Amino acid sequence: MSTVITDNLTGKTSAGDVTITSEGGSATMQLQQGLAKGFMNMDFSSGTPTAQDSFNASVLTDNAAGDVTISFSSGFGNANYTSVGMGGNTSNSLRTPQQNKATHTPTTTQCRYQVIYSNGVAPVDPKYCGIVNLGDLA
Amino acid sequence: MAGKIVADTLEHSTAGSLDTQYVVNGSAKAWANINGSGTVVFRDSLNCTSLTDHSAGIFTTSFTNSMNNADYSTTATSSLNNAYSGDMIVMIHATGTVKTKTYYGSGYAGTDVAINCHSNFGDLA
Repeated sequence: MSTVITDNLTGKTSAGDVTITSEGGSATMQLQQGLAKGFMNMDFSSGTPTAQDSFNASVLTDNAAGDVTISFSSGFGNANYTSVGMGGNTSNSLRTPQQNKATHTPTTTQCRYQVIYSNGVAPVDPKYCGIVNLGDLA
Repeated sequence: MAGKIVADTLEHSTAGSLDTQYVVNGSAKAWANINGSGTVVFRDSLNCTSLTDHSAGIFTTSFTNSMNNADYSTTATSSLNNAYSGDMIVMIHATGTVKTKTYYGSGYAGTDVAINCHSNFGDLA
């Protein structure tokens, strides 16, 4: 067994391109692009969202019920990053966090999410909500 | 010539160490941000090569490099461009594609929505 002790992995040919070999061994993929660039676990039960754990998220802004803006410590390379997430209210009521490009266009440094029932209209506070962001950092 | 490291563990000076299996197994193998309004198009993606639009809200994403099996995990979120939330469900997992459906409300009819994001975790072939 071998261990690499380092604080930084940088591509030799291209600094931002480190390749890993697939589990099956027949493909390679870029390491950086597959890594989550940010995640946030939030608790809304007090009426104000609080971060339970997070990565690459610096500020949590409470806009209204079920309406929160997450600011990223390190910005994305573009505003087309992928956000996936889910939320719930104890034992029922699936609530999904959504980007709303019509009124709150995501930027490279922050994204506003509205948590809504699967067939709902108005944002509502969930008990829990988790969001993961994938994309290219600047 | 590009360098190559063969190792089982990565160790950071302060953040601890990580078995490289978590790097390889824990990385998303494909993700996509898709505009589903009208003809579906990628806004951005990883390891996704094309989209097949079947009908309203139903489309298939094809992977550039296939998964090793059809048992991979897909997580997705979708929304309309207004206040309605959408649901995005997996219809068919295949090694080279994932077919999904988006809808909202209680009718479950496929509906084109503006924002469709999905991520896929599993083993590549």
